Amino acid sequence: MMNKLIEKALYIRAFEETLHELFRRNFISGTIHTCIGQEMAAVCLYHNLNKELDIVFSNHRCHGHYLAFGGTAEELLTEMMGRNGAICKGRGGSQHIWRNHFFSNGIQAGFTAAAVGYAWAIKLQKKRSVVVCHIGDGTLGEGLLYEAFSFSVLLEVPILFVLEDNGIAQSTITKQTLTGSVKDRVEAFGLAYIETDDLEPEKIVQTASEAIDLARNFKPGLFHIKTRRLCAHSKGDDTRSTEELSELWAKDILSTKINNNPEFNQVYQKFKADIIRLSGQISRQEYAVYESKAIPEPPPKNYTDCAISTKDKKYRQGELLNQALKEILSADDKVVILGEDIADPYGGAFKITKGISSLYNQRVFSTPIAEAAIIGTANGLALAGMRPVAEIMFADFTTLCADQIINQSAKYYYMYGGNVKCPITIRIPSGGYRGYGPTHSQSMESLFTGIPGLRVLALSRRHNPAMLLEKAICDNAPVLFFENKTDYPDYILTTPPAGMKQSVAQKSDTPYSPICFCPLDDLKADITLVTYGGAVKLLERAIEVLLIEYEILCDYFILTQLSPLRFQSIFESVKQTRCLVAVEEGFCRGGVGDELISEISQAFNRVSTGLVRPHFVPIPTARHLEKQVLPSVENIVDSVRKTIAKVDKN
Amino acid sequence: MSIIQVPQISTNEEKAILIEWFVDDGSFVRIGDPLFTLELSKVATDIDAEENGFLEQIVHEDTVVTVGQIVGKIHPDSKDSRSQIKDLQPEVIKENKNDICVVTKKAAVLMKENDLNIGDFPKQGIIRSEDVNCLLFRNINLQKIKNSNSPCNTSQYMSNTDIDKLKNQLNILHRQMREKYDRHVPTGTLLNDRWNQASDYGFGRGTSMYDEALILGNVQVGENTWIGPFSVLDGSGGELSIGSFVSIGSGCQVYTHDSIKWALTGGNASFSKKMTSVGDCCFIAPMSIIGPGTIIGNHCFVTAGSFVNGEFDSNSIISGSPAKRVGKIRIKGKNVSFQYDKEE
Repeated sequence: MMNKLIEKALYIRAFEETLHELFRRNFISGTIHTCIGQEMAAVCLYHNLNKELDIVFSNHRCHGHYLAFGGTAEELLTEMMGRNGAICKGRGGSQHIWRNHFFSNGIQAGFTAAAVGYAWAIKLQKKRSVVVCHIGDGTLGEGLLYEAFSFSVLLEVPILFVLEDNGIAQSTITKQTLTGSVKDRVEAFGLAYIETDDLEPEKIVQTASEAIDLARNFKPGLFHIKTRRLCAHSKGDDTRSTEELSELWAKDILSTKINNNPEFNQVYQKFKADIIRLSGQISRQEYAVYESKAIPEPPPKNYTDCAISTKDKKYRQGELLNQALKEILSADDKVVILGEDIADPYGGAFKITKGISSLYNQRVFSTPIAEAAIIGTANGLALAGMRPVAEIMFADFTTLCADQIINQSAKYYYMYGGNVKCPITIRIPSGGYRGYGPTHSQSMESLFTGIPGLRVLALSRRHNPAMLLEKAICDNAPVLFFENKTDYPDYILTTPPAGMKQSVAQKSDTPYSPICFCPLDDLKADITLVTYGGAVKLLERAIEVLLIEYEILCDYFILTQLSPLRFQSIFESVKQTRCLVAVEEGFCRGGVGDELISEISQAFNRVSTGLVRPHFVPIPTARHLEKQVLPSVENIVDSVRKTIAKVDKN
Repeated sequence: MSIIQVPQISTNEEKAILIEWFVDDGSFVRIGDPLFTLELSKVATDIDAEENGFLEQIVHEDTVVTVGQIVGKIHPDSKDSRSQIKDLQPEVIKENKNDICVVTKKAAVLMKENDLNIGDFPKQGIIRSEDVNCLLFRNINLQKIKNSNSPCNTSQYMSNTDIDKLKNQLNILHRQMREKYDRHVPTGTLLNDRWNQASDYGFGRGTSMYDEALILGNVQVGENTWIGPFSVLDGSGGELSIGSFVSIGSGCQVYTHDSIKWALTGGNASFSKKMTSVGDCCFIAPMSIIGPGTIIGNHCFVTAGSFVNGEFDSNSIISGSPAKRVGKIRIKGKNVSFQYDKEE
C-alpha cells in the first residue's frame, strides 16, 4: 500500500516541478504555490476519505490536495493555463478550484467557517459525509479560524481541520509569530487534537483514519501534520539559507526515493514526461472566452411588482417579516437561520425572529458574537444546497464580515466558472434617527453596491416585506437585504402619496423593479425623485410639501435592487423632466445616488441633478446633532427647488 | 372622533416613553402620517395616524405611558379641537366615496377668493392654481357666450390686469435671459427650447432651431446644425436635405419650389418643384437665398447676401447674385485657407 501512496505523491511532485517550468516560460498567469515537500501529507490523509461522499476545503496550496482527491492533471493545467473547457473557465486559476466535492480558496482562514457551514448542512441533511478543511501554520494568526473552531464544536458537526505545519508562513518563520502552543489553543475550544509528522507516513494513515471516524460521528478535531516546504511560498520569495534548505531536502522521503531507488526514479521520470507532454497539448488549445455574467439570474417566478396589496394594510413591517420567516421555514426545510441573539425568548434585537427558535430549533442557530463566522457558515450551508438566512444585528457590523461577503459570497459563482451557487440572504437592519450614535446608525449599502456578484436589495415601507424576503431567499445569488430599523414598527403604506398614482412604468422593469408613482390626472412631472429604504418616509413628506406649498409635481421611484442597478424606467422619466434628485440615508460620498447621477449624466445632455444625503461626518448620538447630520424634509424640499431652478432651458 | 392609544409593540414590555409629537396640537393629519415616537428598551417606534382629521394631544412629550393609554384624539373637523386651525391647512378633502382630491395652498386661496369649491371642478385628483385660473377663464367665456349669443374671440376678454400680468411675466423671462445669456430673443424662442424644437421636427442630435424660423414640408437636417432666426427652410416641393455641422445664417432662405411660371401664366402653369441639398460642414452666411434644385457639396462657404442656383462641388467659395464659384477652401486640421480664383 505504501508504495502506491508514494507513487501518487511522486505524481504530484512531478506535476509541481513541471509547473515551475511552465511558469518560467510564462504559460501560467499570476503566481503558483507549489506543495513540493508536502505531498505525502495529503496523499496519506486522503487514503481514508471516501471520494464520493466526503468534502475537501483546500487553501492556496491546493494542487496536491486536488490531485490526491481524484482530480486530474489535465483539468488542473487547463484551468491554470486559462484554456477552453477549463473547470472554472480560467477565472479561478491556481488558487480557486472547484470540482464536485472539492473547493479551494486563496484567503487564509477565509474558508474555515464555510467548511463548518458545509458540515452543518451535512448533519441537517442526515448524510454520513465528513468535511476536511485545510489550513497552514500561517492561518493560526487569523481570527476567523477560532470563530470557526467554536462554531464547529457548538454545532457538533462532522469536520476535521487539517493543519499542514511547514513551519514557515510565506517568508516568516512561524515560531516568531506564534504564542502559546497549537495543542493548547485547539483543546481550549473542545476540539480533539492529533499530532503527526509526514516523515512517518504509516502513522498518518492510521491516526487519520481514527480522526476522520471521530469527525464522522460529530466530534470535530484538528489533525496536526508536521511537514516541510522545500521551495518558495510562491515564486522567488524564499529567504531561507541554502544550508537550511539542503537540510530539509535531506529529510524528504520522495527525493530520497527518487535518488536511491531506480524503480521509483523511473516512475518519476515517466510521470514528468507525461505531464510535460500534456502541458504541450493544452498549450495548443484555444483560450477560454470572457463572459460578463457575474450573478445568477433572479428567481424564475414571474413577479410583477413588490408593492403590497391592500389586504395587508393593518400589518407592521416587523410582524410581516416575522410571519414570512416562519412560513418560509415551514415550507422549505433547506432554509436555516442564524445570527446573534435570535433565539427565544429574546427573539432578536428587533424581534424579527421571535417565536421561530421554539418552532424550528434544529434550523435556528443563535450564534456567538462572531459576524465573520456567521456569514462564513452561511456560505458553507449555501454551497451544500441549503438556503441560509443570516442576521447581522446592526448594519455597522457588516465591516466585521466584509471579507466573507466580498471575497467569498460574491466570488463563488463567477470564480468557480458558474458551477457553484451561493444562495445566502443576509438581513441587515440599518439606518439612524434613533440616537444610537456613530457605530450603530449607519446605512452601509454603498460599501457593497460596487461589488460584482452581490445582489443588494433595500426594503422600504412601500414594499411587501414578505414577498421581497421570500424572493431574496429563493434567489440563487448572494443577497444583502437591507432593512431599516425605524420601519419595523410602522404600518406598510398602501395608499399612494398625496396626488399620485402607481405608474404603469412599473411593469416594464423585471424582476426587482423599482416602485414608481406619477402625478394624478396624467399631469406632467416637473422632476424625477429617486430614493430607497428608510428615506422613503422623509421623501414622501417632502413630496406632499412640494405639491401643496409649491405646486411641484414629481415622478417618484423607490429602488428595490441597489446592485446591480437597473435604470430603464428612471431614464424614461428623466427624459421628460430633465431634472432629478436622489435622496438617501447612505454614505455622503460614493453612494447609490452618486452612481445614478453618474449614469444619468452619461446618458443625457443638460440634465439638472441634486443629491440629498447625510453630512460627511460620523453620525452623532445626541438627537439634535443627529438631526442636523441626517437628511430632513427641509433639505429635500430645498434641494428639489434649487434643482428645478437650475434646469437649463436654452 | 377617534382615540389614539399606545399599541402593544413588544411582547415583554408594558411601558414606553412618548419621546416626540411630530404633529402640532390642532393640526390636520392624514392616514399614515407619523404622529409620535415611542421608545422601548432597544427599539423606538413611530406611531402613525389611522384616520384623517385634526389632532388633539393629551399627553406631553417625554412622558412614560403604558400600553392601552389614550395619548390623543383625532377630530373629523377643526371645531372640536381646542386650538385654532389656520386658514391654509393643506386641503385634503374627501369627496363622495374614495376619491381624495389634493388642493394646493395657492389654489385654495384662489378658490376662496372666487367662491369656488371642489364640486365646481371636473373630477380630478389635484387642483393647482393653474386649474383654478383655467376654470375661471372658461367661466368668463361661458358667461360672455351666454350674454352675446354669438361666437367670440377669446382674446378680447383678456382683462387689462391679465395683460399686464402676462407682460410682467414675459419681462421677467426676458430679464432672466439677459442675465444668464446676455441676449434678447423674440418671445417665441424665449418660451421654447431651441434644441427641443429641432428634435421635435426630427432633426439630428445637437441641432438647434429658432422658433422664428419657417419650416415647410419635408426638411431633413443632420446633427449639430445651427438654424438661425428668421430663416426659411422650404421642403414643400421635394426633400430639402441639410447636412451636419451646417450654419444657416439669420434670414437665409432655402427653397425646393417656385411659382414663377404659375404667376406669369396667371395660374395656367403649375409650380415647379426640385429637390435641394446642402452638404455637411457648410457655412451659409446671413441673408443668402438658395433656389430650388441647387446642390451644394461639403465644406462650402456661401457669402452673405448671395443668390445661389445650380450645382457646386465640395470645398467651394460661392458668392454673388447670381452666385458663382469664386475660389476654393483648403482645410488642414483646425486651419482653413481661402484661395480666391484670380480675376480675369
